[in-house]
Amino acid sequence: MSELYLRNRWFEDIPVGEFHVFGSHTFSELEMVEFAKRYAPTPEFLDPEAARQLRWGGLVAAPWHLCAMWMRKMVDYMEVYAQGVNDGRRNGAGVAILELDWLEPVRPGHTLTYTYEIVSKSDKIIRDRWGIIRSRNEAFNQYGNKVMSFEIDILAERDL
Amino acid sequence: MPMAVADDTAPCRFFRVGSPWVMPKIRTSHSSAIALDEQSIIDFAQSFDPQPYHLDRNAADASIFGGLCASGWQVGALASRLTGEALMSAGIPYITTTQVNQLRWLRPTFVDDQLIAHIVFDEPTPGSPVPDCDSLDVSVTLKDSNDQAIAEMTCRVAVATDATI
Repeated sequence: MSELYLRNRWFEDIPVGEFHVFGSHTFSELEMVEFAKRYAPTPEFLDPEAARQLRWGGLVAAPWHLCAMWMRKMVDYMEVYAQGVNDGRRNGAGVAILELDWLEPVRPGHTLTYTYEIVSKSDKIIRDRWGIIRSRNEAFNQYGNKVMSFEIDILAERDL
Repeated sequence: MPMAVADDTAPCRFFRVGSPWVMPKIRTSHSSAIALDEQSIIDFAQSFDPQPYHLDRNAADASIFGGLCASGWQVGALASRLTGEALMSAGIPYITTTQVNQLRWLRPTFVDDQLIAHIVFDEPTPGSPVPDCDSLDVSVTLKDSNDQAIAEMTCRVAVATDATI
């Protein structure tokens, strides 16, 4: 039952140690190029032809594309589990990213699976209303290799 | 006019391989400005972060942020793009970012904010997870056109070992 109310739970109701496998995505060449045009205009990420002769021997996904997709999968997951719950509690903003590592290239057709674990909660109360939840997030490719990891601090509303 | 995100006109740089670059004496640089217009904020949000305060003006006005603002991930991605641009304008062949030790969002990025990366960098160290690259640690302050900080980032980037711009 721990998956329920992910979005709308109070700070006090989110347990340290909770672990979720929350989404997967297969990256296409087209979407990789579209992302790179705006956010990483480097031939390795942008130009499939040129990339064959470059350091990875083919097109790879821009690193922040993997993070952007993490966010999309998280929002989709929150929406599913928040269905029918609307009691005024709000999800909060991100505060900081820590120790973000991109470990292996992601190529067209690769499928990433995203996981997170709640690792700590801060006792500080921010603007009389919010607490801070820290989660550890990882993405694995279809071979089971870790391709990305980071921690993120996010505000969660306190039940005061 | 600063370049807009949605122009799709970001320059794509190829480097000359086989002629090593020289570390500049001055270890600071900055990027040009990039404008975040409403459409590019909404486009990114529809693809990657479809929450009300990144999609809809009215919902955003009533939110924790107080106005339509960019996804923090769009800001992070632009911080890296502008960091690369600032390094290249200092003569350093930036390939990609491999680590972000910390990224702290200091305030929301609102419609029509102009982002500029101001960077300070160290000596390169040999080796990188990226083939044929060395590593460079960079401190980045992302500022608006009034010189107010929007985000701070410390990161490690891959720079081509044997190439010039």
